[in-house]
Amino acid sequence: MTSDVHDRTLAIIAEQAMLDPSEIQPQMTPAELGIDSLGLVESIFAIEEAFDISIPFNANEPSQSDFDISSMGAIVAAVEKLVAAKG
Amino acid sequence: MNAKRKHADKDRDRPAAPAVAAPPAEARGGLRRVAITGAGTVNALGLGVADTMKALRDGRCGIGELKFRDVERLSVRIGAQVHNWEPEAYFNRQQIALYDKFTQFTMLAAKEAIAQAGLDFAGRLGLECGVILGTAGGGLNTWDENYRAVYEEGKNRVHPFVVPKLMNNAAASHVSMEFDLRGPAFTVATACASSNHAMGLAFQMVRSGAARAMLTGGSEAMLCFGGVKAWEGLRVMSKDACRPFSANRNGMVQGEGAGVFVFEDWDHARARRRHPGRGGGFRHVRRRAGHRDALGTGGRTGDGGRDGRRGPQPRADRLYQRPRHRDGRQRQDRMRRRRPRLWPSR
Repeated sequence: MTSDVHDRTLAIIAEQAMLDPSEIQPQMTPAELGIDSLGLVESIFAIEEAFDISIPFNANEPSQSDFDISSMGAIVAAVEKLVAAKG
Repeated sequence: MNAKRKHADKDRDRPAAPAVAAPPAEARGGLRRVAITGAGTVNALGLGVADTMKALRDGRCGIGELKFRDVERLSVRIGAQVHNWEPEAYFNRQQIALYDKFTQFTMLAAKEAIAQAGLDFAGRLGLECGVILGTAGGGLNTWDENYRAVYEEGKNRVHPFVVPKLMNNAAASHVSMEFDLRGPAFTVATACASSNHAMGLAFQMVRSGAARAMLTGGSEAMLCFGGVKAWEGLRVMSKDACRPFSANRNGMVQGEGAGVFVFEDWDHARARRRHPGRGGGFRHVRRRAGHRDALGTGGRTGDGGRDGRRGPQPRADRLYQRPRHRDGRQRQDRMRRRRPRLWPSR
């Protein structure tokens, strides 16, 4: 289950970055993947749709959000936590 | 010498029409002459000016059965729809995520117009050029789809680009970004007159010297369930045909599409020897104006908002335009009876 969330999350981000999921490393930031602020908002929307979760992300102040977007690893971990909390 | 002969002599004595050379701007009070050096369109008759002109020559009608979701719940089911529209053929996924249909139409029309004009705005020229477009409904398909998602389907989340897609200035903004137009870029919304007013403003900008060239025109894409349902409510739509000048006319018919022109400083166009069109000559925009009378919705007093004023709008009396819709004409006829003296004599 957890690995499924991991793979699907990376697949969504990879599609946005127009990369192969295998090219994404956990320490990479959205900027390193070429994802700008609009791309990030789009990715978050796609993740919410895929898992039917609500991500606490405020695009005005991304660093102040409860959702950590500093790296791919952080994003995947946060998504896994939200999916697990949904039960 | 009979009268007819006299007339013929007069014609012969008249100097030949001047060639394209215009008097210098100084001789015209600093006002620039304005040329149309490019045109582009997407509409029910065709994609592009050539297809459209051919369809017009062939007498082909663009109006037909509407095809979109829930059309069976409408009582008005005809329109000039752009059928078989495939945005994937022209735009990448990222662009489609950002472009409502009215923007998609505009982008193609703008591309065609710029290609005909042969202008490249990437350098300094882009700083001296802009875009003014008209639309009344803007991204109506986007409103429709997303209202449907949240109201009908009960969804609680919409795509993050709903706002940038539906806003009325979306098309003008995307044209400015795509083609490097870094001067003024905005949208005019005055119902069915939107594009006309947009072109009036663009013309003034080039004529005054404020811009070298302006992209102008407009687009509309209201043919979706909510869009046509709204028009149904107004009770002005025909269910069978568009025949505005016929005694048995019974309403209007909605279409969709875009039309974009390049208005360019005449001397600038001449300097780069631009001769658009098969005829080789410029199209020339002589004057444009649009004045409202601010007397409420539904009609005009009929004097073009002039109300006897002189001065800044001296030509309004000559620019009166007949309202396009039947209700407007009827109201106008009433006004005409009521205010005969202000009616332009022509």
